[in-house]
Amino acid sequence: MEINNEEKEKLILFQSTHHSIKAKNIFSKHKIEFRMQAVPPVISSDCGSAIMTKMELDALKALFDKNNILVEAIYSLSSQSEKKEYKKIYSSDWEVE
Amino acid sequence: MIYFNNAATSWPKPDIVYQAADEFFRSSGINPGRSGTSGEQDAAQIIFETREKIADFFSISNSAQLVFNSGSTESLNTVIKGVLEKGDHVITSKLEHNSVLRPLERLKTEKEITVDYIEFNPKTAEIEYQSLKNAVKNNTKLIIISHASNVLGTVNNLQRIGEIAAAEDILFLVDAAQTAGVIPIDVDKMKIDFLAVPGHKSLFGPPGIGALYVRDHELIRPLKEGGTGTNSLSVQQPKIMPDYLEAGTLNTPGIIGLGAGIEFIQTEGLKLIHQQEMRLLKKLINGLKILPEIKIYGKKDIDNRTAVTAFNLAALSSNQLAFKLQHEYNIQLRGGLHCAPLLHKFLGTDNQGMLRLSPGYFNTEAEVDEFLNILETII
Repeated sequence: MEINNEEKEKLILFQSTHHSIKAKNIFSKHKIEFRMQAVPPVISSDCGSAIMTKMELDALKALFDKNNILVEAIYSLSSQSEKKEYKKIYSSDWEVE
Repeated sequence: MIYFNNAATSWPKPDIVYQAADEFFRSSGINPGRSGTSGEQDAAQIIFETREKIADFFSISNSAQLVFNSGSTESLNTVIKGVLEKGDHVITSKLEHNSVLRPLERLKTEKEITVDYIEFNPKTAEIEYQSLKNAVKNNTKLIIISHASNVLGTVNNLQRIGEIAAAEDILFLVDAAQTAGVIPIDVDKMKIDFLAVPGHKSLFGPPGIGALYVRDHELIRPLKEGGTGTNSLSVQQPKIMPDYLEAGTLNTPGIIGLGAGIEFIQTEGLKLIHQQEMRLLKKLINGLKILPEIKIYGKKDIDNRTAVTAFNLAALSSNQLAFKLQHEYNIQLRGGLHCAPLLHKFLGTDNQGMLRLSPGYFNTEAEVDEFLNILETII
């Protein structure tokens, strides 16, 4: 699967360990570049891991929908003057509302 | 020792089950489960893979709907206590195990539920399908049927029952204690809403591990709440599967062993395993049939059944005969009652009990011969 390198990095948080591992396996299967990382403390102090990728948001949402993967939230990441900033661009709560 | 008690717990296990559980148990200390970063050996990754493998085995499309627990008893309790409300009606059968009967009897008092126990056909030993259909009421919430009797070994037609349940909008819970691993199960085709799976019988896993499939988790309350490793700030149990029904530390060595058991079945072939067990059962039944004063219960053919048969010798106490065979001849079989009180009452064996023989894939024809010869000398 193609990734536009101009895309901003996105941090994906999952609702359960099962879903984060399923996502990791599907990313690997589709050869999508990603890396696992701990959830940054500015977002949550919860344990568990998150996935960082540059994949486009709609494509990500479609991939998760198709594979029954439950995402908690997706953040876009920008670095301004050495400080990382996370902006929430998707939340599972928004779907419910 | 001759082990003919596989319907209780299969033994021995395939070598890969011992090896996989041992290897994982020894190395898991250095692979913390919830970080998700330590590669292939990570516990969470292995649990995920095993979950997918088991889901696939029962044609479950979304593996998140399959949760691990301690076995069928926990699965049956989870569904019975998590689904039924005050005044609900349940249809089940006289073939059922105490892990179905006892929770239901408790709820009859606590939640004023009503229960119809369907009889089984003495010839086919399958439940009376028409009686089941006739028992449906406006408030019937749940049908609970064991796929096969743990005493008679006969297999019920799940698809037929599933269609009755679906047509009437009734939930369908299947106790697969005696069939998971030897008789194919497809949750969609058979319209199963809940499937209780034991790990330690025909799936060759260790004791203390099992699984529960839940089609729609919004219809069920968890039996227990607790840590899930996610959403930890919330004091509410997360509604996300599998976490919703999987509170507390999982039995990871058990899960790994169960995964290896399923791998063994897939390598050998479920059909071949069943055929081998049926060959042994046929030899046993044919041998029992020609012995004097032996009464065999249920069908005597090997069509549509699991490798279980039950018998009595004249009016001898089944428990005393089982004790003698165990202690004097080192033959492991089960006597007495088999946690199926309604079946014993129906067959009039509630005083005498029965001897149950359940050969497994690792038994041999020579062992069957040896057993029959010993029995003949006792008679």
